[in-house]
Amino acid sequence: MTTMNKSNQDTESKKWLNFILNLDKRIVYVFMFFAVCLPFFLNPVVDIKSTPRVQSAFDLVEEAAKNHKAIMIGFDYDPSTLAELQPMAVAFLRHAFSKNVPVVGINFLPNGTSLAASTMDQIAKEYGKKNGEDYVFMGYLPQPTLVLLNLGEDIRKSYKVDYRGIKVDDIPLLKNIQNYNDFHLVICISGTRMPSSYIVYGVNRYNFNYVAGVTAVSATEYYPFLQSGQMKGLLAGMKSAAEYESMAGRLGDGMRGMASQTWGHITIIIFIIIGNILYYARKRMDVK
Amino acid sequence: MFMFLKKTVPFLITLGMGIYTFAYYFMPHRAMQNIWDQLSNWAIIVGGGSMAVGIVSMFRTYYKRSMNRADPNRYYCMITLVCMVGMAVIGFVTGIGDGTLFNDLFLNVMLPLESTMFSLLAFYIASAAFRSFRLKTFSAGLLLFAAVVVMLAQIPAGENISKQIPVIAAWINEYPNVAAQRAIMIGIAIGSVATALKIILGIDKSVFSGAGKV
Amino acid sequence: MSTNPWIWIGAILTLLVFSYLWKENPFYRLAEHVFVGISVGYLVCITWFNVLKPKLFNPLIIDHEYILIIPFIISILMLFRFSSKHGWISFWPLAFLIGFSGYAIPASIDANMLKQIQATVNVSFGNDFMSILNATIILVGTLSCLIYFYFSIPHQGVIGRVAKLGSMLLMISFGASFGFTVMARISLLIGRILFLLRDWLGVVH
Repeated sequence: MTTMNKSNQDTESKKWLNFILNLDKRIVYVFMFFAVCLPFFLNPVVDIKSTPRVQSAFDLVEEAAKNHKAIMIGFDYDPSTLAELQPMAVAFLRHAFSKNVPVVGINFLPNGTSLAASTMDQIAKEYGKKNGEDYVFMGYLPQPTLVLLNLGEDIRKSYKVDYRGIKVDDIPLLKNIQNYNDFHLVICISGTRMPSSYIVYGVNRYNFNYVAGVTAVSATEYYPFLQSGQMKGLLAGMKSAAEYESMAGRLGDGMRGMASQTWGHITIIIFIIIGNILYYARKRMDVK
Repeated sequence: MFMFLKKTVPFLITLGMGIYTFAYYFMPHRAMQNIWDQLSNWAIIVGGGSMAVGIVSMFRTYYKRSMNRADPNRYYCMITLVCMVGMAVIGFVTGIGDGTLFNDLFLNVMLPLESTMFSLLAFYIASAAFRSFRLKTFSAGLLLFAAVVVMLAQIPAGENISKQIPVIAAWINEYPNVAAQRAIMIGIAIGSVATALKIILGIDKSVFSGAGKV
Repeated sequence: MSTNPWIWIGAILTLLVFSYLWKENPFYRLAEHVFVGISVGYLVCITWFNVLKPKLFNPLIIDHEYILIIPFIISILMLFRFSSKHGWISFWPLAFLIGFSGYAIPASIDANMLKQIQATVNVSFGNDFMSILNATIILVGTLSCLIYFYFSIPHQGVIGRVAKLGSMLLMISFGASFGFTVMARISLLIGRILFLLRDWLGVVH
């Protein structure tokens, strides 16, 4: 009788384990949704410790301000990576404009062209900067490898007009800008392989200060370039954007999302732990 | 003659361009530079023009499906065609600058659609973490350990749990990760160089195929 | 709550896409097809206004730079791809573009191989234990990972053990990559939730 009871109990437990292990994925989704949603109603994170790779990117923009030199930003991202890369772009622009550093924007990803133009205009407006004098967006061009090589010789070789159709020679900001030598820093913000192209076709030949802002997914690929010195700084995902915002003293969407990021990560870790415990519990029962 | 035009001419163009651009890397001489400037400008224009191939191909496919009464998705295909033509016409009429209807459609229709589609991945990764991430072997243990440490290091709570978590995560990224990624990078470089050489020297002709099938 | 109709359109489209999480449904399909159509239409205009108009049309028609007829013809030849009889003509412009990969050969060898090998062998060993360990990981680790990918010799004996070390380092790297991927995916969701809560509903600031 006792053996039968135990066997029934085991079957019952196994049933439960199987039920939880094969839980409807939509229940998992609900947990994820609330983990990201609810922290927005909590106090936001306001301080975050910076890492050396983000600090060096920040320092290069500061140096550009001291040397009165422009920076170039490649807005090579589109809406698919907006949440990760837009806070970085905004943080770079705010920092540059607040220090009166002129910015030249370029783009090699057609789906991100209007996004880059709108972002530059919007942030420039916050700081009262004028298009053509304090910043300019050159628009989209295909064949990034060729354009990156041409930028080392003369920006006019690839760009005849800017995004608004104004001739390059009529843009005051570009009067004293010819090639990479006239920029203190070149930044590529992208979720594609574009940051590598900047190294292969730009840094390698023309040797300029280069920083990449990449999606967290591709972050690990770029560490070798950091160690080899081909890249001076690296921003990876929303956390790096938050670090940059913290350093610049102007909080944005990067920092705003850190509480949700925290709870999202904790939820995933809990899922991994629970999933493994249940898996091994069922395996033990199967052996029995 | 036909085979010469079909096979030999593309091979000769690739070989000639390949040798010239290879030489340009080592000889940025003024004469070489002038040719490069002209050719690269043409290539950028041709790159823009080649978008037409994709656009025409897509239009043909969706048009055929829209006209096919047996296709259960024909009405969706019609919607795609209307949106495609509509967006293009609006762009040509209003221009693409700030404040135009074209820009508004990008920011308020295309942007939310694309970014939301990619945000669905957060739910899938949660589901995968629960169902598939199993600690079965030592290698899986290493992977799991690195993943959890990096995950914790990316949030402020990680440092609150232990001051060592960000330090370990930085070490993982800067040393074991650099060694592994560098090997992968070198491997990819060898592969891409070999592929480029095979195409330029005409050993691999597979790129020159598939015409008439789109 | 927002009174801007564009924000409402964005919010409704966001919810249509999220509806896919429940199950595949006509609303999601509608959103999907609208996206495909709009993005292609967008591409047409961006390419015209940013590339073809300033670099081809205006110089050719207004400035009479007739040399640009050549890239124009090359671009037109691309369209022969749709012809089953004359499709081979489209190989010529393709060959022209592919030929530029000649530059990629030395550039890639230099940036992705030589500079990386240089950074590996020039790694500083320092005096303390951690510096020596770290330098060893970079040097031996890179070599062992390369051996792991080298299949022309059997992975047995010493080679097998070195390859095993390489595979462990790769696992650590993939683990770090997974950790970062989690962050990336959650960030994307944060972006959309923030849009709904802040821009649309106005319940957070």
